[in-house]
Amino acid sequence: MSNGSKERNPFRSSSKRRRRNDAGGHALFAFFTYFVLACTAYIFLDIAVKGAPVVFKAEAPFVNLGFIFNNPETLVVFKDGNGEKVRMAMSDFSEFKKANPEAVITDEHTFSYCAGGIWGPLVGTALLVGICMVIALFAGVASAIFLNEYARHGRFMNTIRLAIMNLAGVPSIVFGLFGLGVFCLWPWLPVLTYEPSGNAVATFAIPFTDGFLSFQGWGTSMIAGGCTLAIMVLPVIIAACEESLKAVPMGFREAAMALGATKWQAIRTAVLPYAKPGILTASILGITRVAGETAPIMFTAALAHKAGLPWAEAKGGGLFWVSDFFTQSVQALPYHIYTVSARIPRSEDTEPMQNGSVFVFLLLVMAFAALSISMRARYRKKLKW
Amino acid sequence: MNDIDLDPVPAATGDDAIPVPDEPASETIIEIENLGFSYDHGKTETLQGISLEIPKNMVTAFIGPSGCGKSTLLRCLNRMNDLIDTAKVTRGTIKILGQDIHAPDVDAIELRKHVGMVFQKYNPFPKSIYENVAYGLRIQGVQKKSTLNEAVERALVQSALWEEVKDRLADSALGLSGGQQQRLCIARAIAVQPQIVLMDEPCSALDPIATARIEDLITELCENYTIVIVTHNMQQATRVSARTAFFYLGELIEYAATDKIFVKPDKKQTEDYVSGRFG
Amino acid sequence: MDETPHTLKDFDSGLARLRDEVVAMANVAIQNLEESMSGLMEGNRDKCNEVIAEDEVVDDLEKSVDEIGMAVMVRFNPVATDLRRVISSMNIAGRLERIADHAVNVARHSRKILKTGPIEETKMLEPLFGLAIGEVRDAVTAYVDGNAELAVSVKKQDDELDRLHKRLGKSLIQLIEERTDGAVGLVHLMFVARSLERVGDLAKNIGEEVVFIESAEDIRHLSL
Repeated sequence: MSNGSKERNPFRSSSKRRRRNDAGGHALFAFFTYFVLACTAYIFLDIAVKGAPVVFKAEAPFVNLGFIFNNPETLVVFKDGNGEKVRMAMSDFSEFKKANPEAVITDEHTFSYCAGGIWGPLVGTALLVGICMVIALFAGVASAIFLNEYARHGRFMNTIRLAIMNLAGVPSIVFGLFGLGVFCLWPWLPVLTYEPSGNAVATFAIPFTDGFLSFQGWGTSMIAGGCTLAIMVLPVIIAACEESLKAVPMGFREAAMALGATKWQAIRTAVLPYAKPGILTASILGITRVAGETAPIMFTAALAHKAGLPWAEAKGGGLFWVSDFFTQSVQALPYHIYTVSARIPRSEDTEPMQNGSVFVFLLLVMAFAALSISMRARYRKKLKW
Repeated sequence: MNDIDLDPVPAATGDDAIPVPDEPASETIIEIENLGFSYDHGKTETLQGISLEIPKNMVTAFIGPSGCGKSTLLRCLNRMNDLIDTAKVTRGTIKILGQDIHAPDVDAIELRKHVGMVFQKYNPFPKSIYENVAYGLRIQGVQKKSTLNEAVERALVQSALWEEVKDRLADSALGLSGGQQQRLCIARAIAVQPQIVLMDEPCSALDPIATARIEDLITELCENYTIVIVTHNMQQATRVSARTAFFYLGELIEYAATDKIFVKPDKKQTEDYVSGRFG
Repeated sequence: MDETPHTLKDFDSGLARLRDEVVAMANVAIQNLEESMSGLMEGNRDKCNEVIAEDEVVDDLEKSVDEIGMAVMVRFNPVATDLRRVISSMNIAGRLERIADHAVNVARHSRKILKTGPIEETKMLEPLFGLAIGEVRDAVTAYVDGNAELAVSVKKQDDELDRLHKRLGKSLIQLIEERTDGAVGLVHLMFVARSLERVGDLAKNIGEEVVFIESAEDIRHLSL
C-alpha cells in the first residue's frame, strides 16, 4: 500500500454530477427558507417603522400615552384661515369651534375612529380574552383529563378525539356564525335585567328587587364573544393539555396509585402539578391566537365604537351589574384594526391610527409569545425527570 | 441414584447451616390459587393457573424470561392491573392475609396501602425528599406535622438513606443519585407501613454498587416486611431471596428454596434457564 | 448429558476445555501408574525414572484445570449442574494429581527394590494393582460419560480393594517377620501396596464427585 501512486486516492469524488445535484438542492432549500424569512422580516419591519413613531416619542415618558389610554374618536381634518392643514379629534374640534366661532374652516373632512387612542379596543380585547381563557381552560383541561386519564381507549374515544382535533381546522368565520346562532340569537340564555326585552321566552320576577331573570339570549355581548372564542380555541387547548398530560411519566401515576391514592388524588397531586407548565405555555400561545381573531367576534361581540369603557357603561347593582357588564358589546383591537384599515379610506391622515394599532397589536402578540417561551424554559429547568 | 440413602445430617455442619426449607418455615401471607389472568378480556391467558404460597417476612423472587408473566403476577398482587381496561382475572383467587383480594367488598385503594410497590424505573416525584416520603401519608389525610416527621424519619432510616439526606430533606429528590432515588422510592413505599412490598426489577436501572446497596437493604427489610421481587438478574435472586419461583410462558414451572433452584432444580426447564441454556 | 447448548457458546467451549484437560490429566496419571508398576514388575528402572520425570506434566495440567475452572466461574457464573461440574472437575484434578504422586511413590520404592535386585514377592501386588487401576479407569470413564452408576460401582470396588490390601499387608508382615535378610525390599513393597490402596481411595473420591455432578447428591462418607 505504501507505494501506491498519488492518483489512486481512494476517497476522491466519484461523480461530479452527484455533488452538483447535492449542492443545487442545498441552495434551493436555503433560498425558500430565506425567502420566507425575508417576507416576514419585511412585514414586521414595515409595521415597526411606520407604527413606532405613533406609539413612541423622543421625549419622556417615551411612550405616546395618549394613543394608548384614549378612546378612538372621529378625526376632523380641515384647512384654517391660513390654508394650513389641521388635524383634530372631534371633541377638540367642537371646543375649538366654540372657542373660536369666527374661525375660518374650509375643506373639512371627517374620518371615523381615526383620532384619539386605542384604550377601548385594548380593554375590550383583554376582557374577551380573559373570559375566553377562563372558559377554555376549565373546559379544555377537564376534557383533556377525561380523554387522557379516564376514557377507555376504544374506537368511540378515538372518534371523539379526531372530531375535536378536526375542530381546530374549521375556519374562524364558521365559529363566528355558530357563536352568533347559539350565544347571541338563541333565546334560552338567561340574563338579569330590569327591563326584559320583547324577545324574552320567559321572564321571572326576582323577589325583593325590581329585576327579572329573563331568558332572552345574550345578544351581541362580550360573554357571547368570549364563549365563541373559547370554543374556537378549545381544540388547541385540549390537544396541548393532552400532550402535557402524556408527558408526565406513567411512573408518577403508578407510584401514587401504589401508595393508595384514588385516581383523582393521583391526577391532582402527581400529574397536574407537573403538567401545569405545559398547559400554561400552551394557553398563552392560545391567547395570542384568540386575541388576534376578528371573524368570531365580528358578529358576536365587537362594536366599532363605544363611548365609555365597559365598567362605566354597566348599570344596576350587584348581580344585575355583573349581568349587564357581561352582556354588553365591546370594542376589540383586531376589529378596530379591521375597521380603520378596511372601512376608512387610507390617506396620510388616517395612517397613524392604522399603523399604530397594528404595531401595538404586534407588540402584544410578541410579548405573549416571549412570555410563553421564557416560561417553558424556566419550568424545563425546574422539572426534569 | 434413588437408592442412595439421603438422610441429611445438618447437625454436623454446626449452627451456621443454611436452612433449605422446601416447606415455608414461617406462616404464609399470600396464597395464590389457580390464578388465570388475561390482558385482552380473556381471549388469551397471560397467566395460566398459577398456584403458589408466599411466606411472611421473607424475600421471594420471581424469575423467568421476558414475557413469562412474572411482572403481571406481581401487579396482580396489589391490583395494579386494574388500571388496564382490558385486563381481567379469568380464574382462581389471590388471598392476602387470608382475604380474597377480588372480593366485592375489597377496595383496591385500601389493598394498596397494605401492599406497597417499587418500580423498575425509580420515579420520585419532582418534589422535596421530605414530601416524597410523606406523600403516601398526606394522601391518606395525615396532617399532623409531628406524625409526618416521625414517619418520614423512620422510613428513611429503614431504607438506609437517613444519614445521607437528613441535612437536605427540603432539597429536590431529583438531585439524588439513581441509587439514592430508588432507595427514596423504597422509603416512600414503606412510609405507609405496608405488610408486603412488591419490587418490579428495582435494580435494573442502577449500577452494580447502587444495586448492592439496594440488595443489602432488601435483606434488611425482610425482617419487617414480606418482599416479593421480580428480577431478570438471576444472581440477584440468589443473593437476596429465600425462595424463588421460575415462570415460563405464563406458567409456574418450579417454586422452591432459592438454593435448590440454583443448585439442583427438579425441572429441566428451570435448570436450562438458570444455567443460561435457553433456546 | 445436557443436550441443550448454552446461549453463550463460549460457556460450552469453556466447559469442554475443562473436561478435556481433566481427561488428559487422567490419561497421564493412569499411564504413570502403569509405567511405575510395569517398571517394578519387569525390573526396569528407566521406566521408574520416566514416571518421576513425567509427574511435572500432571502438575502443570492440574494448574491449567484450576485456571480454566476459575475463568469459567468468573466469566459465566455457572449454577446448578454447570457449577457442580466446574467445582467437581477442579476437585477431580486435585485427586488425579495425588494419584500421579502415588505413581511417583511407587516408582521411587520400585527403584529402591530394584537396587538390590528384583524380588519374588512383587507378584503378590498384581491383583491389588489390577483393582486400583481398574477403579481409576472406571472413575474417569464415569466422569467422561456422566455415568453415575459406574461411579457408584467404584465405591464398591474400593471396599474390595481395601479388604485385599488388608490381607496383603498381613501376609507381607508375616513374611518380613520370617525373613532375616531382604526384608528391606518387602518393606518397600508394603509402601507400594499402601500407595495402591490410596490410589483406590482417590478413585473412589473421583467417583463420588461424578455422582455429585450428575445428581447433586453428596455420597461422601456414606456407606452403601
